[in-house]
Amino acid sequence: MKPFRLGRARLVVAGAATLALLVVGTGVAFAQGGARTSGYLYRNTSDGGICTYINTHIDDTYTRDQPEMDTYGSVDQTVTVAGTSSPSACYNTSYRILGGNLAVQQQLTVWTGSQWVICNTNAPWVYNSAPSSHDVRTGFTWAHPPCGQGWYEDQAASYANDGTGWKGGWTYTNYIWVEG
Amino acid sequence: MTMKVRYWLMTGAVVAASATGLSMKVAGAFDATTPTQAPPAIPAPPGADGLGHFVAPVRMPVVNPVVKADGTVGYAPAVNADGSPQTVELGPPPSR
Repeated sequence: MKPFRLGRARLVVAGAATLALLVVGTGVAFAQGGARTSGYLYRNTSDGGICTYINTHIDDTYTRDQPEMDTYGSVDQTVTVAGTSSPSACYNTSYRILGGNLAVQQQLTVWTGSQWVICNTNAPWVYNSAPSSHDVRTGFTWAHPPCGQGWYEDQAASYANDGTGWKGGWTYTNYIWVEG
Repeated sequence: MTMKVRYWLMTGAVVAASATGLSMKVAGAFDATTPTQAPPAIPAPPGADGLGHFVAPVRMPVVNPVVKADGTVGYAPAVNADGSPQTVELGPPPSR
């Protein structure tokens, strides 16, 4: 019986084909997914100062053609780690601030072909609860893309007030395609 | 593992991956958010740094959803009572 012989070239071709299929599939899945932005929008670098954080997200992956957005805001405190020469940073992530002094808002925006505009959602400011808390969330899911099929983007804000005025800002995610 | 076994394992993996991709495509699994055209290079909003942050106060136009003549949903510019375009400033919240 003639022994079975498999050339190295055939193995390489078969392996490359499998890898290509997996990469293509994964790439499509990523393209289908949502977009997220997170990070500090404000940092007070002095000890005891506050830092305002945001994590906001838009997608329609889990509920097809139903765009959803969620926004998380929190306030941290700048501290220097004792016994080190590390610069002050937003290390105290359990810091609490009085209710009504941390707020988030999110706006759904749509691309008109020439500019970004807010697709009117009457989104409210959502404040942290009393007597004090570390963070606050808001979110919304639309039954259908409210301004029709198109490119949508999430613009969101996180602000905290330590008694010296609101500190924070707005940010935005990458855009996603939503079918009508 | 013999070369023959490796060959059939590899062939099986290729066939399985192909079948999975085809069935997902047929089921429309990729259609929800995959546009028929390549993503355009849409610029960042005005006042943004291109890295996800706004570096200047921004006042953005507002549109309202409308149902178009063909029955599909679209949008139209929102206007104030005096007919001027409605805008929203992306600024800090009001104090409570």
